Amino acid sequence: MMLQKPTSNSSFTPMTLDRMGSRYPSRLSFSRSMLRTMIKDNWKIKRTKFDLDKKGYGTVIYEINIAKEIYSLVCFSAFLSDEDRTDRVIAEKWDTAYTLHIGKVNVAELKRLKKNIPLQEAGRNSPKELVLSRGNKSVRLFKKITETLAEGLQPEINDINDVGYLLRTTAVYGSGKFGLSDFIRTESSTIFDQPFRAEMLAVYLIREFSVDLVEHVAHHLNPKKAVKLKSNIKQHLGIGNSTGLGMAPFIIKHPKLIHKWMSQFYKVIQEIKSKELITTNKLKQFVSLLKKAQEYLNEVLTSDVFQKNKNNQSKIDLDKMIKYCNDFTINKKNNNWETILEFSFKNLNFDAQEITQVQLIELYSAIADPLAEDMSSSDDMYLNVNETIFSLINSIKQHYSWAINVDYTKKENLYLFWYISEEKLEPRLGERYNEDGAELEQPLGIGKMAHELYNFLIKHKETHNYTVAEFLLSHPQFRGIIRRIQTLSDYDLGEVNDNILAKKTLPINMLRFKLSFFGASRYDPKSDRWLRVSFFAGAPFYSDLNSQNVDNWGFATMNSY
Amino acid sequence: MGYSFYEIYITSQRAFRALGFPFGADEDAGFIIAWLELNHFNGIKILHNLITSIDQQYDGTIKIDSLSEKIDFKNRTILMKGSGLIDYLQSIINQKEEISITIKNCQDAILFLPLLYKISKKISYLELQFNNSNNDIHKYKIKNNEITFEYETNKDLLSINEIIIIMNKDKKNLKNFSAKKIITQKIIQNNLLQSIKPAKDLWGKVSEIASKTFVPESEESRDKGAGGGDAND
Repeated sequence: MMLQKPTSNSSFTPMTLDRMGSRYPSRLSFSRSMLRTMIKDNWKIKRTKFDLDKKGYGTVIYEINIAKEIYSLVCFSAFLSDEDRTDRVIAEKWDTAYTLHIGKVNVAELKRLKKNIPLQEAGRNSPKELVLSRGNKSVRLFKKITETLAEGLQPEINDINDVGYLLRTTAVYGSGKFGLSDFIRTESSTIFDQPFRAEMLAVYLIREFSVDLVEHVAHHLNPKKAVKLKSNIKQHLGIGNSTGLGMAPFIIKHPKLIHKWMSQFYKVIQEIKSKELITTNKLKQFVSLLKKAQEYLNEVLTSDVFQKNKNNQSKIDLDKMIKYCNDFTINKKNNNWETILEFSFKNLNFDAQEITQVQLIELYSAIADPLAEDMSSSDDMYLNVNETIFSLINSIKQHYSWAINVDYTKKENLYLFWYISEEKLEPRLGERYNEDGAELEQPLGIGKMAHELYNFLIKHKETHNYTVAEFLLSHPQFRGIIRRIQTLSDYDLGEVNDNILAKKTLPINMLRFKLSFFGASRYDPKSDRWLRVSFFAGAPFYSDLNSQNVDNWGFATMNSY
Repeated sequence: MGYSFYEIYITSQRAFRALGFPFGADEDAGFIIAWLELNHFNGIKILHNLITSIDQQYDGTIKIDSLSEKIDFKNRTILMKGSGLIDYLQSIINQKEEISITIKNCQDAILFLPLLYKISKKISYLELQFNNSNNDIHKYKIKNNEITFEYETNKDLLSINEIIIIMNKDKKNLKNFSAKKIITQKIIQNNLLQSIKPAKDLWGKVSEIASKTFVPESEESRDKGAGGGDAND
């Protein structure tokens, strides 16, 4: 597989799959903004129920007080045999299960939750639940840390770095799934008015629970000798996550939201380029952040050869950037960050370019942080009913050139199809010429649909003076794609600029794109369709969290604590 | 059993897809059903009752020669033709102060209500009138995401299966809007607070239709999917 080559200049299309698969978390990521809000708005978290037996099975509740509101993370822990422990979405049992509930949990509600939450997809939730999740133990690390703590010792931070987490979530559901609160309601009537903020809080607290759980089990193994994890070691623990194809269609189905995330990111970059001048001190901080990212790349582990190569190339390219910055002469003609970004676009691979940008953003919290609090967008699509077909054709030429020039008669351009699996109602990818079910394909091949519409319109010149409303009266089969094309003419960062039906498509690029906005790190691809990541690795635990350290944990390394 | 708005929408949309609705039309029809169900207008019941007549019979085309004539839906459901008609009316409202059209041979008039509600931020005033089976005229008046309802005795103005839609773009000419509001943003938010509870048998049938869009997972797909080949660490 070819590694990406540097672009010749900074005028690039950020929404191609290879670029999307090179993104890194930033100050705008949802895990980062959630923690900042937790500090800024003085969220109070306390463990109000801790009912676990000696082996760590039972119920734990964390209450979150936010202004006058209360939310509860309810955690259920149960015995799971090794043969039942799997990351597959078709699993039916897990070590732990969770819900984030609105309000305090009363006895009746706890009974209802206890009956339903461990069942996950097979249970039912109410609009009082915001998040549903489950997680399995990293058996290797959980056992090792339990035994080490029970002996009164601390684990080696290298052992923690090898795995990265004690518990690994295999799904984090929200937004109306399985009876949960719809986001249109969550957004308007709870504190969680930003996308995935409730999910990020739940994940952060599951991380807290993972440490409470391991310390509890260690204590009961050896009550006289057992100790708790030291802060500087436990901070390196994240919460793991296994992610599969479920994330990919989200990107196609929510293009206005994706545009919002991307446009906020580039707004920050643009403002930095246009308003901020390089100073000696800022340049020094920037180099230090690049070195930290390099160190992170040195430590992060993956068995995936492609990812390893990307990481190695990024380290080499970051060296180029660091050298360029060290040699950089600040003067009146050369004091703009654009020069440095331009160097990165011309000389670094995509991953290193992204690292350069996210580390630059770190320097300008006053620009980035307010924009991180404005990441939501309505999903409504709309027709511009008075636009003429002639104008629509021009719009397709302008915005979908990547699609209309593809030859869809070639098998390799139509090789894949997306479908909903019968087993778990999850998105899956099939091979059109080798597998059954292509007739039930989901309408996610936007490029192909745009191509078909364009060719139809070109062939039917008699329609060119019609308005879109008039055209659709006789051709309603094009309603969905026209609505999308018209809506997204105002949202140019919302569309994936690649044919996702092509044989060469790596779906994992879409997963990484979304995960970067979530704030995930330690990307560890397991195939082209799923990967493991960590959330909050390096973030302070709640008891240590304060306004000084809340934003210091990007690209955390073993030396960060 | 209770469901979220999202679940009602996605299941309905998938059912329409299974019934032969093309991309876009399935989304509009799914929205209509979910909105009606959320707001206690029995959307799932309406969909359930239409399944046989719409299965693989999709026809969303509309022939409009003149607005002065009645538009004939030829007993095809609003779920197929409603969105296109409302779009067309929106496209010509700029040339007129008010549009009033009559649609004949059209059942389940309430299916127009979500479509009119959706555009009520853009068009100053909207009205939906139809003759219910008791020979009363039902009038839904819509302004700025709020809906009032009133009814009056039919004086042979409207036949069964005839519907009148009025659009008015001039705010100065707003009609009486004093009747009790049956839909507001607040009411919708309150409805979202409750689980939606469609009748079990009707929901079961709609879910069964939706499931026809699902595909059994192949072994290869399973092996490459999350957890495949490396379940533990």
